[in-house]
Amino acid sequence: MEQPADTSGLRDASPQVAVTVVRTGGFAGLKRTWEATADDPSTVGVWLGFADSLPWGATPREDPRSVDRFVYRIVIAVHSEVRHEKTLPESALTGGWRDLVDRVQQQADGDAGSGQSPAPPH
Amino acid sequence: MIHSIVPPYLLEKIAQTDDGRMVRAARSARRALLARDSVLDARATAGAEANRTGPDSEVPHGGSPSVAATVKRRDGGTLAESAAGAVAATPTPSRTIFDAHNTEQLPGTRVRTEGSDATSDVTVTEAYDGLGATFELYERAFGRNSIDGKGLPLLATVHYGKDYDNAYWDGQRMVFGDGDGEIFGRFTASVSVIGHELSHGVTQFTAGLEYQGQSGALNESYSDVMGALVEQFQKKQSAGEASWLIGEGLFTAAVQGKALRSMISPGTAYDDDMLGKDPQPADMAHYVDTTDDNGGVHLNSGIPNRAFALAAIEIGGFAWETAGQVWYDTITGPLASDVDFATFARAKVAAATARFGSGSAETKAVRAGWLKVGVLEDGAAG
Ligand SMILES: [Zn+2]
Repeated sequence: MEQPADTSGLRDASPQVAVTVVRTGGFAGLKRTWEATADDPSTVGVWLGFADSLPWGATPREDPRSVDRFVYRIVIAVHSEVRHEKTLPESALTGGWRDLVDRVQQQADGDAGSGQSPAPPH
Repeated sequence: MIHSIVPPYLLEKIAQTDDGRMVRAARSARRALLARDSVLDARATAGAEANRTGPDSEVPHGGSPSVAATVKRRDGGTLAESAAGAVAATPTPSRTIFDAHNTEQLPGTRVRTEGSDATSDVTVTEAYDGLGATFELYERAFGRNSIDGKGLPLLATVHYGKDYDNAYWDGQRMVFGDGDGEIFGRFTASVSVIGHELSHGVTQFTAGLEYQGQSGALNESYSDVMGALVEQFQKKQSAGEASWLIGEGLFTAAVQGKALRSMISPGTAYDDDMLGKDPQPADMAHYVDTTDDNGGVHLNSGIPNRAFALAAIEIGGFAWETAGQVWYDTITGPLASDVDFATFARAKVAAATARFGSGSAETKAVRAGWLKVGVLEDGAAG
């Protein structure tokens, strides 16, 4: 992983913002993790602005009859402190949630050296 | 509601028969048993549809004592002939395959209906054939007419989503992704996956096992068991010959692994640089406590899966006639929807005892399987 510039003083090893998506379940039961990080102020602002606009406190719509679908856990950490955390069934991964997960997956999959994500090789 | 003259214990006997001449009788007896079970279930919709398929008309009406004597010999005779003569046409599936054209819109466009010719799309063909193979296992081995026991049409959608690495049951239909092409290929490639998904429908219409924690892992295990049995039934494989793999051939060649799960040896299906090692536990000592995956339903299913495979191999022969029949009896019998492993194991030993007798090789092997994986302790299984 590219080392962040030394801008954060005490915690220069941890990124300013880390958005982690953990996908479990599905027929295969394979756990996969994607992580996107941001350190420069404008990118940090974009991630946090977007993340803070999502309904973290709302109860997700349940889909009691479907089975073998994915379960997503989304964690947003600022300097390693958890700012938001949410677990969503795949059926509730719509709208802004879906956009967030798509963005994290795109960044992680495009970041071959991250080591965080078992992303398919390109 | 069901006016069967033949008492249930007799139907059970007939339904078990392995005599070739009694196959049709056994089939109708199984249907009658199912009709009875559905009445016991007090399912609201039982009436009209059960009458339409007419299970009671397929059962011979005769004097019980002499019939009992005939049946107890298990070697054919009057009952077999009269039952065969009265039997209705064998149920057939009603399959419809849809194509989502790589969107997430369900159901998609209809591309194949029952009896129509195969298309040039191998995914559609695999889905259609896999639904047929699953229908056949349930009908021939257990006398069950489709998912609900009443001929429910079988629906599947293929080409769901873009690079979608999954197959699921949405409560009404099976949905199959094409895979991303790098880790997974198409999910219709293994009939065990199709049998698995359709069996989730059977669970929904029977025990309704809650998809959380241990009851969720049992829900998963039942689907794996039946997925494996669809494949074994299709290949006419004995328990000893079977691979006991789930989802063989789904991984691309780039992945170091032979399948998604191994029922006989959970935790050994794959060990890949990128995906890691198959995380399934093989016994209770390694039970995974997690909030992921609805409480690890796809992980801890390894424990009942192994109990099943061990029992089936110990008994020998075709697993759908022995340990598979016991699993089926258990899930269609009285069972709490939030049942835990230990309670379920005891229900299974009871089901084996009811069908095969307490001293039978089948019951001993079923109990031994649960002991081996640490769910039951010696003496606890009665
Ligand atoms: Zn499943």
